[in-house]
Amino acid sequence: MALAAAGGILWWRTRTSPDAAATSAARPGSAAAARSGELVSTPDGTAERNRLRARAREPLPLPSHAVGAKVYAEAVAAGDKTPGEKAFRADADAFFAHNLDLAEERAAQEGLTLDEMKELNHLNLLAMHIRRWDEVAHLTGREITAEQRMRGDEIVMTSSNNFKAAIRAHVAKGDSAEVRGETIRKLQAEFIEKFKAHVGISPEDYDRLLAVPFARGGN
Amino acid sequence: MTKRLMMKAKTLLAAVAVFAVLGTASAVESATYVDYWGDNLFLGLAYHRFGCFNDDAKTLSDQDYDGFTTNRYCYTNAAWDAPGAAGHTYLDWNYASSKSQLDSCGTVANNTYGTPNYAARSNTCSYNILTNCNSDCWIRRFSSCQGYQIGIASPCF
Repeated sequence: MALAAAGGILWWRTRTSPDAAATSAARPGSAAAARSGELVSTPDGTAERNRLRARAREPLPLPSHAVGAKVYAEAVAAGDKTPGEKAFRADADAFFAHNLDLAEERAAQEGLTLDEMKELNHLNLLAMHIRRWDEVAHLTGREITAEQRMRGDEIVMTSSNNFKAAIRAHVAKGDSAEVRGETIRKLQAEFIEKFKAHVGISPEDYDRLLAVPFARGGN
Repeated sequence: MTKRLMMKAKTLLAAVAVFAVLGTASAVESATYVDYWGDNLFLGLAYHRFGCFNDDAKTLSDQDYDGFTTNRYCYTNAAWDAPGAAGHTYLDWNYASSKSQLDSCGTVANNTYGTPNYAARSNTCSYNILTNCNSDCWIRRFSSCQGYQIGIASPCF
C-alpha cells in the first residue's frame, strides 16, 4: 500500500518534471557547465536561458574617442558654434559603425531602417551622457540639487519608455519610415528641450556639456 | 511475527528510498536564478543592465539588481521572462543560491560605487559612461561577487 502510494507520487513527480533524476546526475550544479551547452536537453530553465543568451549580442566599446576629438578640434578651429554637438554625433556614429553588424540585427528586430537606428543610437548615448549632473552643475555654475537630479533621471527614463512605446506602435501599425521619422524628430526635440528647461542650461553650456569627452583629448 | 517485522522494514526502506529520490527531484526543481537583462534607452545599441531573482517560473522579489537608476524592472510573481515581454533584451544568467546572496552582492556593489540602497546617483564618484562610474561597472561588480561576471561595454577604468 505504502509502496503503491509512493509509486503514485513518484509517477506524478516524473510527469511534472521529466527525467528529473537524470537531470540531477547530468547537472553538476555549475552554471558554467550548463552555459557551455552540455545540458541543452535538461528540462529546467538552463536550456531556454542558453538559447536566449546565444542570441544576446553586446556592443563593443570604441577603442578611443579620437574621432570625436578630431571633429571637435576641427569645428573649434573653423569657428563652428556647436563643436560639442558635432563631435558628440561623430563619436556616436563611429560607435555605430564599430557595431554595424549588431545595428543591422537590431534594426531588423525592431522593424526599423539602419538610418533610424543610427539616430536612435545617438539619442541613446546622449540620454546617458546628459545625466552627468556634476558636469552640468560645473558648466552652469549652479548646484543641481538631489531632487533636480532625481527628476532629471526620471525625465530620461520616462522619455525613453514613451519613445520606445511610440516607435514600436508605429512599427506594429505598419507606418512608413517617413511617419516614424516625424515622431523620432518630434520626441527627440521634446526630450532635449525638456532636459534643458529642467536644468536651466544655456545653448552654449549645453554644447560644452556634449564636448566634455572630446575637449579633454578624446579619452 | 518475524515475517510481519520484515515486511514493515522493507516498506520503511522503500519509503526512505522514495523520499530520497523525491528530495533530489525537489532540489532540481527549486533551482533559483539571477537573470540579466538590458534596457536599451531610446532603442539604441547601449544597455542599462539589471538583474532579477526568480525560480525559473516566477520572479521572487521586487528588488532590481542595478545601480544608477530608480527605474523599476523586477516585479514579484511576474513571469521570469517578463522583462523580455516588456521589450528588454536578455543578456545572461547564473544560478543564485538565495535572495540574501544577491542582496549581499548588491550591498558590495552599492558600497563600491557609492549608491546606497541602489541609489540613482553615486555619492562617491561622478557619473560617466566612459569611465568607472556607471551602471555597467556597478553590475560587473555585482555579477562578479555573485559568482559569474557578465560582459559589459564600459571600460570601467
